[in-house]
Formats: sequence, C-alpha cells, structure tokens
Amino acid sequence: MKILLMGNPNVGKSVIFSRLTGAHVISSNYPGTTVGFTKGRIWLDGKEAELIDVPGIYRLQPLSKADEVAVKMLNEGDVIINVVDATNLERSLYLTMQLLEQGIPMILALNMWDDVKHKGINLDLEKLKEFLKVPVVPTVAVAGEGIKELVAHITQAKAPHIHPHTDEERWVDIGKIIKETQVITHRHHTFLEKLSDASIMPYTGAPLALLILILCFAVIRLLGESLIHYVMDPFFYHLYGPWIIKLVKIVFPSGVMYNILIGNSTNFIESLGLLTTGLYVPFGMVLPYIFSFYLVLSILEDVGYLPRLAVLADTIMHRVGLHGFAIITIVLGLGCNVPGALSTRVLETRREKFIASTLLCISVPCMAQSAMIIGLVGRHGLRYVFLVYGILMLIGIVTGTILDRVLKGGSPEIFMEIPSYHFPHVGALLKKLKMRIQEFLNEAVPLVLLGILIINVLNAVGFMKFISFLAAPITTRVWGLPQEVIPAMIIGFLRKDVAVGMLEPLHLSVKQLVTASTVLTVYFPCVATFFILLKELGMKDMIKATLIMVTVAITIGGMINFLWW
Amino acid sequence: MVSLAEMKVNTSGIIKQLGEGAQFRAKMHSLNFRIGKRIKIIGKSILHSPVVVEVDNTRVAIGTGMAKKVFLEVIDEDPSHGQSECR
Repeated sequence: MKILLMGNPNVGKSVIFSRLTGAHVISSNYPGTTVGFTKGRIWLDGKEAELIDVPGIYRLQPLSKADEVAVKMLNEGDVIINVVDATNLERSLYLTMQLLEQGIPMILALNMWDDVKHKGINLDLEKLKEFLKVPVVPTVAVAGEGIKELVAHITQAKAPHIHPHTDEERWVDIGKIIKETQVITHRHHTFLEKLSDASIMPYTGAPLALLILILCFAVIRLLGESLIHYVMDPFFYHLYGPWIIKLVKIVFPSGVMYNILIGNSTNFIESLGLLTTGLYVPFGMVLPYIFSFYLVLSILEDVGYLPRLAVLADTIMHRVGLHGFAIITIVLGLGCNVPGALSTRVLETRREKFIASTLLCISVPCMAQSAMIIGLVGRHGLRYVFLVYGILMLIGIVTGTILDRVLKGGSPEIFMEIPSYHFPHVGALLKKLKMRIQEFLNEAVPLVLLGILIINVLNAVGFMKFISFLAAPITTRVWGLPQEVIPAMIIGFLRKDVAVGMLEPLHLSVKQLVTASTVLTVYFPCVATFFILLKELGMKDMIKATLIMVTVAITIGGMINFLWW
Repeated sequence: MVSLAEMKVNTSGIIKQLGEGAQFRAKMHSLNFRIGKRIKIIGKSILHSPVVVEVDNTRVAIGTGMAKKVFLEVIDEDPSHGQSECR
C-alpha cells in the first residue's frame, strides 16, 4: 500500500512524516522545504506500507517543478493523508476538494491544532467530518500529539463519491463548509505577530535584518572558532596526532606509505596525509563551522524568519533577475550548495532557475569552504575575509544584472505566504541539526580522503607539475599566483575545503590568498553541486552556466591582481 | 475601485476584480485571493518592494506588479479585522 502525505506548503507534512516513520527529513517554517519526495515505511496492522512525503501544493494544476513532482505522485497513491493547517482551513479546503474528486481514499490531519485557539478560531470537528465524509484527526505534529490517532485512522480512509467540480462550484461548497464549521472571534495581536509585522516593514525590517545577520555571523564565528581552538585543535595536535604518527611509524617507518598516510609536515593542513589532513580538514576545521552554521540556520528556519528576509530582499533580487524567494537559495547555499541548488525547483521559470543556479555557483561559498577561508585568510585579519565576501557579492550583483539584461523574459514576482513566527521545537531542531551534520560527514569525509589520495598519486606521477605548467600563463600572468595553485583548483572540483587548504603550504601573500580564495569559489562548482545542477538545468544550460563561471573567474582574479594597491 | 498597489496601509478592501490570465488567477486563488475576499494592507512598498497583506489570518507578500492587477473596493476601517467572510 502506498500512502501519500499531501497538503498545502508549510503545513507540517514533513514533521508528520518524521513522526510516522521515525525517518529524518528536513522540515522548516517556510513554504517549499520539500522539493522532491521522500519515501519511508510504516507498519499498519502488521503489514508494511510505504509512506511518501509529497512537496506542498495549493492546487493540482502545477506551477513549478516541485508542483509537478507532487501531482505525478497522485497516480501512485492508494491512500492520502491530507494535512491541513487548522488555522487556515478555508484555503486548504480547495486542494482538499480537488483531492476528493480524484476518488482516492483520504483522511484529514488538522495540524497546528494548538494554534487554533490562540488565533481566536472555533472549529466544529463533527460538522467538518459530516461535510467531508472522511475521518478528521486533529494533530500537533511538532509535539507528537494526535499521531497515534492518525495512524489508527489510516485504514478507515474514505473516498466519498464526488463528481468533478468546476472552480466556481468548489468555492461555493467551501463557502458553505466554512460558514457551518468555523467561527472566528476578534482578538488582540500577540507580541509575536507585532514582531512579525515589524520584521517585514521596510523601515523596521531592514535594520532588524542587518542586526540579525550580524548576530548570526558573530555567533557562527564565535562558536566555530571556540570549538576549533578549545576542542578540535587540542585533540588533533596533542592527542590524536602524536598517537597516529607513532602508530603508523611502527608499520611504515618511512617511505611512500608513510608519506601517503601521514605526510611530511607537522602542520596538519600542509601535510596532505590521509590520516592527518584527510581527517583534520573535515573534522578539525570544517565540522565546527558546519555545526555552528546549521545550528543558527535551523533556528532561523524554524522560527520562520527566512520568508521575511525574502520579502525584504525582493527589491535587490529583482535587479539580478530573481525575486525575493531566491534569498533562500543563497542562505541554504551558504551551508552547502547542493540543497541551495535543489531549492531552485520552487522557482517558476527556466530563466529564474538558470540565473539563481549560476549566481549560486559564482558568489556563494559553502560553509566548508568558508570555514577554510576564515581559517587561512582570517589569520591576516578578519577584514580580508569580509573582502572576499564583498568581492563575491559584488560579482554576483554585476553578473546577475548582466544576465537579467541579456536573457529574454522578465522575472516573475514574489507571491508567497509568510508563516507566523513559531518558537522552535527543541527536539525537532536538534534532530534536524544532527541530520545535516550526518549528511555532511557522509558526503564530505569520503570525498576529502579521495581528494587527498588523488593529490598524492598525481604528485607522484608528475601529472600536477605538467598541468600546472600548462595553466601557468593564466595563473601567473593574469592572477599573479604561483602555478602551484593549479593542483588546488583541480582538487577544488572534488572538495573546495581541501582546495583552500592546499593553499597553505604555498605561503601566499594576503593579496594572493584573497585572489585564490575568490577564484576557487567562482571558477567551478564542486562535483556534488555540478551533478545536481546538470540534472536540474540540463546539459545546455549547464554548459552556458559553466562558461559564465570560468569567464567571471578569470576576469575577477585578474581584476584583484591588477587593482590591488 | 482601486488597485491593491494604490491602497494605504491599515485600510481594508474587498476584492472585486482580478486581472486577466488563467495562470495569474490560478496563482491568486491558491493563496485565497478571490473575488469577494476581504484583505487588509499591512505593509506598503517602498522602492517597489512587495505589498504585505492579511487574508484570513495569514500574511501574504505580493509583488507590486501583481498587486496592480488586483482591484478592490475600499471599506471603512473596521476594528473587527481578520473576519473570515465568504460569499
């Protein structure tokens, strides 16, 4: 049996999914968190059933790729759990009607049931059941309330016979249902609602946004640095390091294997050994920042701040051919470009997706890379880190403006629901954090190790020297960098964090470090992002995007080199 | 009738007409912008930033271009806002 979890965006489908399956999926407080479908298994009366978390839709006529995914899933479903935001019943009923017309058995989960009273809404459950002729179960998914009842009702799902309605007829029916089941009483705005309005108004919202972003950066950096300084570095340099070196020496006193495993430096970034750099970069340098970044991001997401940021950024984003929602692509991309790239599915046109993806690759360094930039460039002063970010932002705006002018078609406008602020649910938040860290470790560690192994092999056979020699004209003449940065750029295709780390033994000047860090961000996406984008954009657009990246990289590297005082 | 883009902050209106285009109307309907719906303006745009409105207890941001295609009849300021009235 296949059970579909369907409903409007941001009603808590993914939370219910995690609750039902025990599987972990990312859920946040903004529409469009789920863009592909996730499958899980649950047990029903001793039988196994498949549960599918479907992206949120408002109607069965798709407007975006995420919508298409959702509508396609309908053909496969045996039962629908229709998740409805109880505080927003009227709007949810439109999709509910459409789903009922499909003739697939349904049960209704009235989620966010706890908010109904706060919002001054009175709902008559019995009457609602009467009208819809399907089981209705109130739930508070984040707290796990009503989940058991929901499971118990799945087998009682019903498919009342309904003829296909016209739009007009549906709204008439909905009007009737609402009139009979729902009474809304007046109440005063709560503090959170006032804060909510203040954070979207341009005059109060913009300073607030700036404050929040500064605060976020400060927390991420402070937490990240502290973890490195007080936990990771002591562990690697005083405990693990001496121990592993001793251990490897027993087996391989010296020679090729010793060099591959440990390397030839006491600095764990420089040594390029599998067991030193290979573990120190992902765990010692990047993980602390991944942890602190995703902690902060998860809080922002679950509180519901991101849609407000989208509204505020709308004007600026229009200049680069996008609208406010694309800020979510950027924010997610700052963590890892892969979820950033996936989030472009919510954007409606091919043009928007192309611009958003290209800008993501060009000017958004992922946290793994940022951690290394902060580590290496930050040593010369935090202002150089900001310089790198400033340059990246600038080329993003310039490239975006040009793309907006050159590409045909206009950019659609923002039209999005702004969810209420919620106090984050600590349990759910920590679970999400854990999941994202796990994802990072699963993806990053093998690739980092592979990258370092490749460097060792290519170095040994002299390939690096050869390719560096070929690329020397651009690196030395245009960028003012030694040709030894070329191996870093080759490895950058695999992992950008390792690539930035490979600049360490070159002892570059500040200017060169800034140039190299910028170029390493812009020139090409990492392999994981590349393949996601290839799938999302198609071969033709990806080639175009890549050409833009390479052009921008060569140009910006040259500009920094020649304009630096 | 005035367009949503022209309405002042803190005033309410009832949607009387939606601009042309099936796609546009479908989009509007998805967030419950329908003829007969009551809307309150929460925030107005400066520099073409989106208009923020309240429909049925929900805040929605709508781009200025789209806001120009939603026409309303302004109604008197009524303290009992957020009422869900349906035609």
